[in-house]
Amino acid sequence: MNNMEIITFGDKDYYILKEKESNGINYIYLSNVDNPKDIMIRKSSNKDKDLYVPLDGENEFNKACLLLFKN
Amino acid sequence: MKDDMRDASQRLRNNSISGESARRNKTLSERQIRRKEARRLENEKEEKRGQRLKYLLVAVTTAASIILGTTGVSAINNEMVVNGMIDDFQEEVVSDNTFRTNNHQNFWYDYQNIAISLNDYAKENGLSECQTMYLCEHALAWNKDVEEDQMNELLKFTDYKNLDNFLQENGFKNKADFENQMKAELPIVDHINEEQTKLDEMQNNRENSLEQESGKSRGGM
Repeated sequence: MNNMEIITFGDKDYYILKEKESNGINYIYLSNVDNPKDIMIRKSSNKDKDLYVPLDGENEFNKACLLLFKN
Repeated sequence: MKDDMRDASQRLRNNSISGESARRNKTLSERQIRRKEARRLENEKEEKRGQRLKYLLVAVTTAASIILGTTGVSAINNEMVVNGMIDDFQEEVVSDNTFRTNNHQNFWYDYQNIAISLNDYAKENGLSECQTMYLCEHALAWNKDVEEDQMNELLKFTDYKNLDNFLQENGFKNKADFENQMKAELPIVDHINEEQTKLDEMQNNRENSLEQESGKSRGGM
């Protein structure tokens, strides 16, 4: 059976739509289970690969957007 | 629509660079996901892949609008970029597999050979299978009426066998979904490939320059 991975931020569940890796950092693209317009990107923490944290500003955000389309 | 997209872009940006952290915690079974969706969408039932595509399409087009905004590429340029990519595919793959009929009144495609070329073309040009299929579809079609028939002819020579299977197995609800997503993705991929080429050239120039300097200093010793 195909399962979809969920990650919970606060009290909200997000589907993990895609994952992209770059230079040892894992970026995940998320969509709120209850609201498809609520989307965001998180990255794995350097100290703890299982912990997903916000991006470090505009530059990293633009890079993460570009990664989404990279094959 | 533009204001909606701008708002969505801003929300994506703000949500991504601030807010909470979390660990991966759980996996929902397909049945649990469907129950959640049924509650939220009332009586509307969607395939899991179709729903996922809807979420992904919102994310993709939102991210695309951000990238296109930061690179200053307009909608008209996007169309030119995609048309250019279709022309390249036409020249590199389709032309060599186009033949005249015996009476020279019509022409025909060697669909089998074109199908075989798709994987290599995708790898050489940094494209996904779906992106390549989009370029192929538009390079082949001389008018919209025959698009689907031609795609079905081509796809007979792939594992998908037909267009419906191709769309379904790649998570597209229908052909329009496929078209919209590829039109959003292709200009970005083209931009990434261009930037990568520039980086490679800079790297090569730097390496050549270092080699030359090293050669001069040895000669001077």
